[in-house]
Amino acid sequence: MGEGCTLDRAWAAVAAPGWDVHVSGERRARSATPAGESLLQADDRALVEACLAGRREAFDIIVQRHQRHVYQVCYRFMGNHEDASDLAQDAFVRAYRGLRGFKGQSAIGTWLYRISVNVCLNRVSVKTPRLEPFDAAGTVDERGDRADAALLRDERKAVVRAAIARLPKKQRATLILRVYHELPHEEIAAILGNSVGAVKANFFHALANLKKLLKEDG
Amino acid sequence: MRHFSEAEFVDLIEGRLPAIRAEHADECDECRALADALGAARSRASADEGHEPSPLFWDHFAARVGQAVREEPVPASEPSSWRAWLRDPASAWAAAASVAMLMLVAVAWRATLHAPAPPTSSVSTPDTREAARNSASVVIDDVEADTAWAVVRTAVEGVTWEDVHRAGIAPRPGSAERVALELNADERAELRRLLDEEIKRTGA
Repeated sequence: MGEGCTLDRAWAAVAAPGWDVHVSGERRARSATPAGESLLQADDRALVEACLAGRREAFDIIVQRHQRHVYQVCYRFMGNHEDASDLAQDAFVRAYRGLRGFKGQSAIGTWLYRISVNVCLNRVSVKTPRLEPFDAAGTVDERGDRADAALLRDERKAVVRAAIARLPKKQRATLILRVYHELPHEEIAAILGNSVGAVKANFFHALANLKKLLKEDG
Repeated sequence: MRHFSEAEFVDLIEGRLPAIRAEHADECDECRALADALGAARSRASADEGHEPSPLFWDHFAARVGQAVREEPVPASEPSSWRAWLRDPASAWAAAASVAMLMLVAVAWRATLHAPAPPTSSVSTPDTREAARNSASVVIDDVEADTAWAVVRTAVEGVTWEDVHRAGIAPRPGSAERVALELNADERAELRRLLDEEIKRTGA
């Protein structure tokens, strides 16, 4: 704090009269950073500023707010819990490292989606995901006819997941974000760095390929 | 009859295609069949509600991420920017010195323009150097009344440091230190006086 005052005084001293001496964005953030108890009520942008001012606990709140979405994206790409949780953690660590590069042009959720998708696409490029069997995914125990129906339903889900895993990367990313995260085409475009038209074309081809793959698998 | 484009198929199965255009599906068996197939594939995909881990997982996960993040250095706001660079008090003083130096150079330059031509002599005596210094100090006192300086001041009145930063203008690291080292004793004394005066004025 003392160093900041010295800095402001130094600038004020050498600035010609009539100049406004503006306190830098970061110093403003530090003074506006919510106190510990109010961090929970702070919006994402304020939390980012608090992180940049050295308050790591603000990032814990960002994690708590967005962990479900980040994990679910990773799970949809990887198809198993272990890889999904590892990649979700990796996505958050990368986000933390790159926090100063977050310019706030998009929502932090969109930015985290972008990082997660990139982390997943990089991983599936070097390692074929191992799809989790459905009994490991916590299917409820059901009896009799209902058990048969549940088994059939799980088998159908497994077929769909396997087919989605075979889609080209951009088509898979588009389909996951659109169908499972229900993001608008515009936000998907921002996440994937495409135009809205390209996103819709990718989605069209993803569905057309999915249709073919499901037909092949019966 | 124009068939649906890829984007229009997507809009159609999501119910966003304008009704007047969607009517094409009633007239075209080919487009209708493809739209139905795409819609069915979408429905089949969306029937998978996904995987929900144990409720205990989230606390464990957040703790894991928190631990991993605490092993990372705190991200600086803009480590390569002038704002982060100025956080160091030594850099701040050096930057202040460079600004003062720039002002002195500007004033001296203007003094050279306005001052009467010096007597033709190739020898610089202590007297002539003293006279030149006095001449410059007169201009320093007069700078506030200088119309050219007022124009510059007016032009930058609405410019904030953030604007300057966004425009990509930033001192090269080390440049302020170099300028500070090049200040002569008088200039350093003047800078010190200005800074002391401001510190007293603000009462800090």
